[in-house]
Amino acid sequence: MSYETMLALGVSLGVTIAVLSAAMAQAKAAVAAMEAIARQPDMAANVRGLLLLTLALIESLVIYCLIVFFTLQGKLAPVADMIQTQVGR
Amino acid sequence: MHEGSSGGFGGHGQWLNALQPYIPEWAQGYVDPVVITAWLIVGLLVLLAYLGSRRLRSVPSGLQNVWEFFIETLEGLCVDMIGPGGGRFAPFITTIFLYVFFNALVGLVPGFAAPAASLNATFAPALVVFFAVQYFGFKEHGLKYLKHFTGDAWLLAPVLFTVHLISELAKPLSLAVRLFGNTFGDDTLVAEFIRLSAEAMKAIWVPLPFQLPFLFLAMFIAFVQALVFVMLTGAYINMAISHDADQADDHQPAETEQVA
Repeated sequence: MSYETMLALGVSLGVTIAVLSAAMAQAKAAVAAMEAIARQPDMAANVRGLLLLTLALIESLVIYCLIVFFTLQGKLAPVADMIQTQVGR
Repeated sequence: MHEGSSGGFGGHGQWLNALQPYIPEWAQGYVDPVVITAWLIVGLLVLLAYLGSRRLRSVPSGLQNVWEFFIETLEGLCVDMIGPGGGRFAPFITTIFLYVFFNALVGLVPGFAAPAASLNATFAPALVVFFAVQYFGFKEHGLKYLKHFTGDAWLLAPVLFTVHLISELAKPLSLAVRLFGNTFGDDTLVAEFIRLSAEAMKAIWVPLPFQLPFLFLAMFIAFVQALVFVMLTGAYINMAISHDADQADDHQPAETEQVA
């Protein structure tokens, strides 16, 4: 596989895998928070604040992956050039 | 990342682009729309603070009311994160919160580029937090603050010191990159939807704002990211000034108002 192919695969799959894992992690956090609120409704304010902080921290890991995505996307050649190299091969 | 999309005078449709001919030669690389916008935000915050504190009444109303509600909420947050003595960090944390929140928010105003969408301007509050946390740690513990870095076993001290130093350096890095990624991603998303609605105007001859839901999302994300920035600052200050080195920092959280 050529360099552009691998780069395009990296660009598309990187954020996807990060978002998948972050969705699973945030789901676990949200389920735990909802069970805690259901078990003790008068702690709802504390749990809500902690849940928001936890969700933002997990999401920031996806944002690190997004930065890598933007960096790699800057290295991709324009589509016309890539088609030229494929056709000229 | 596109050239000139965040920071720099070539950015799309900024009002500050009109200032470029008036900047003298020696300041060309240094005076940037990001810097000018950040200073404008600082000026706006100073103006709001001055207007809110002019004639202080016992029963507040108007701008003073807003400021009091806001300061009380953030002071409750400080006490929640740092413990009972947390009130003395409240001015620092409130300032950082307001600065970061307005930095991320001003990108949604037409004609302005968010300073938080440029990695240089998000490193500024992150570095301030880093140096402030070390300063608070040294002020609280004296030179024994360095014992936090080494742990208890003397043989492992160099290794633990290096590891702890790297983790201390990684904290402001993560703060800066988190704020930058969120703001830049949200602003890029809004810009893409504006472009989409501009292109859709070719087919339908009515300009529909496709970016409206994402404007609300971006405002919410700006608020949440400023809150996370400040909560993490509080957690780092808590870890720096805690007096039990190896004990987890769990204290009874005080009764606070709703955070979100």
